[in-house]
Amino acid sequence: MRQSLKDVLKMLEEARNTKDILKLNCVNEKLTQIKGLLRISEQADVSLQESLAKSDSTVALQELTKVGIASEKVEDLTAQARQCLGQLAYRSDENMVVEVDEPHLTSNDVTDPPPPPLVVIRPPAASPTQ
Amino acid sequence: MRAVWQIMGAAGIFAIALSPVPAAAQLEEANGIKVGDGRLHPYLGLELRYDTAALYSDTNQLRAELIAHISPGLRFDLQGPAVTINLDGKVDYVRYTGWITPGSGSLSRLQAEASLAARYIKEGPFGVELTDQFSRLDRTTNVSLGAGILSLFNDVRLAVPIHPGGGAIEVTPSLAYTFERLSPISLQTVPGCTDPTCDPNLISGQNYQEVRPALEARWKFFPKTAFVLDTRMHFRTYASSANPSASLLKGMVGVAGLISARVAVVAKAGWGQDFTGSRGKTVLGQLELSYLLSDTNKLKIGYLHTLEPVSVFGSYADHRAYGETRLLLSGRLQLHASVAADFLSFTNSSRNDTDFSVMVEPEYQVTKWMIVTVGYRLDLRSSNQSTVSLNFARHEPYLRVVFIY
Repeated sequence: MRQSLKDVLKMLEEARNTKDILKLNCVNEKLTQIKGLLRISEQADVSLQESLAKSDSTVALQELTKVGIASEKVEDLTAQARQCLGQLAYRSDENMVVEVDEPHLTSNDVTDPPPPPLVVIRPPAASPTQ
Repeated sequence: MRAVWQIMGAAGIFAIALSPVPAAAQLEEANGIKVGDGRLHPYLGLELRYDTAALYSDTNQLRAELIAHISPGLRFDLQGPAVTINLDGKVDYVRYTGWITPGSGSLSRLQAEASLAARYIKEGPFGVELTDQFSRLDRTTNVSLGAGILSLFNDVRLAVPIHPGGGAIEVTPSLAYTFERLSPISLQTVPGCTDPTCDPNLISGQNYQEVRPALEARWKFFPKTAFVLDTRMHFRTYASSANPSASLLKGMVGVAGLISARVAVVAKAGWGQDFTGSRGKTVLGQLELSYLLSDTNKLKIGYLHTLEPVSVFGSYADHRAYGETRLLLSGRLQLHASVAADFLSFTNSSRNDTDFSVMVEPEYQVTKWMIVTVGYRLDLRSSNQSTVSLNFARHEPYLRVVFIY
C-alpha cells in the first residue's frame, strides 16, 4: 500500500509538471482516499498486533479483514489514478499518451460552475457605401 | 480576391514555419517555448466564414458575404506550486472578401481579444486572483443596440478567496471595473430606425463604465456539494445622461454540486433590483442540470432568469433556456454544441426581444499542432419593434484551422 502511495504521488508530480489541472485534480482525489485508507490500515495493524499479544483471535481477525479490504481499495484507486487523463488528452496508441491543454480550461469544481454567459448580440451594419 | 489568398497563403507559410514539422517524431515532447517555469505557445488561426447577415444593402436587404479571419496569437501558461498564470492574446484581421457583395471590403477591420488569469493560492487561508478580459469586437452584451458597432471592452477583476480551516467554507470578496466604448461601423442610419438604440450618431453616448463589488460564499456540506451565496452590485454610468445609470443589486442563494455520482445541479434563487435609473426589480433564479458522462464528456441543460443593466432603458430581464454538450469522441474529435433561447424584456418599455442561437462545432485534432474545426452557427433575433436590425436571421457555416506550437 505504501508503494501504491508512492506511485500515485509520482503521478501527481507528473500532472503538476505537465500543467494539466484536470489530471492533477483527478489524481489528487485518488491520493486523498489512498492516504485515508493507509491511515486506517496502520491503525488496524497496531490493533492487530495488540490483539495477537492478548491472544484475542476475534479482534485480530476483524483487524486483518480491515487491512485486507483497505489493500484491495488502494489497489483499485491506484488503477483509477492511472486512468486520469486531461480534458483534451488522447491515446494515440497503446504505449504513448499525448496530452494537449484545452484553450479555455474551465473549472472542474462542480460546486463552483462558471455562470452562464450573458447574451451577446451582433447587429449587422448598414452598408457603408450607401 | 487575390489579395486575400495571398495573405492567407503567406499566413499559412508562416504557420508551417512555426510548426514543428516533422511532427510525428516530436509528438511525445511538450509543445511551446519554455519561458521561466511556464510555456509560451504561438498560434495562428485561419478561418473562412460565410455570413448571411454581413450587412444591409442600400435597398434595406440583408446581404451575405464570405469573411476571412487571420488571427495570430500567443498563449502563456504557468502553473507553479503557488502561482498560476494563463495569458492569451490574439489580433484578428477580418477581411470582407467582396466575393458575394461587391463593395463590402470597406467593412474590413482589425479586431483583438486578450485574457489574463493570475492566481496566487498557497496552502493558507488566503489567495489572490486577478483576471482581465479585453476585446475589440463587433459584438456586445449591450443587448438594446440595433446598429452595427465595434466594441472596445475591458473588464478587470480582483478577488481574494478566503478559506479558513479545511477549506469547506470559502468566502470570496471581489471588485471589478468594466468599461465599454462603442463606435458605429457605418454612419448610415439603419432602415426603420426610430430610437437611440439604432441611431449611429447616438451610439457613443452609450459608452459606459461600471464598478462591481461582489461577495461570493460556498460551504461544502458534502465533498462535492455546497450551499452557495452570490451577491453583487452593478454601479454603471453612461457617457450621455440620456441613458439611465444603474445601481443594480443582485443576490442569490442555493446549492451547487453533485446530487448523484453523475448528476450535478445548480439551483439558486434570489432578488434583483435597480435602486436608481430604471428602478427595475424582479425575482432571480437559475436551475441547471449536468449529466457527467465522464471526466471529458458532459451534457448540460438549464434555465436562468436574471436582471442586467443596459443602455437607453436602464435594465432588462432575461428568461433564458439553454443546453450545451462537450463530447470527446474517439480521442481526437471534440464535439461542442449549444442552444439558447433568450426572452428579453426591457424595463419601463413595451419592447420585447427574442434571441435564439444554435451552434455545432466539431473540432478535430489532426496533430498536436493542428486543429481543424468545421462549424455552423444560427442566430435568430426578433423584436416587437419594427427596426430591421432587430429582426433578422444569421446563418454562419465556417471552416477554421489553428496551428499551435
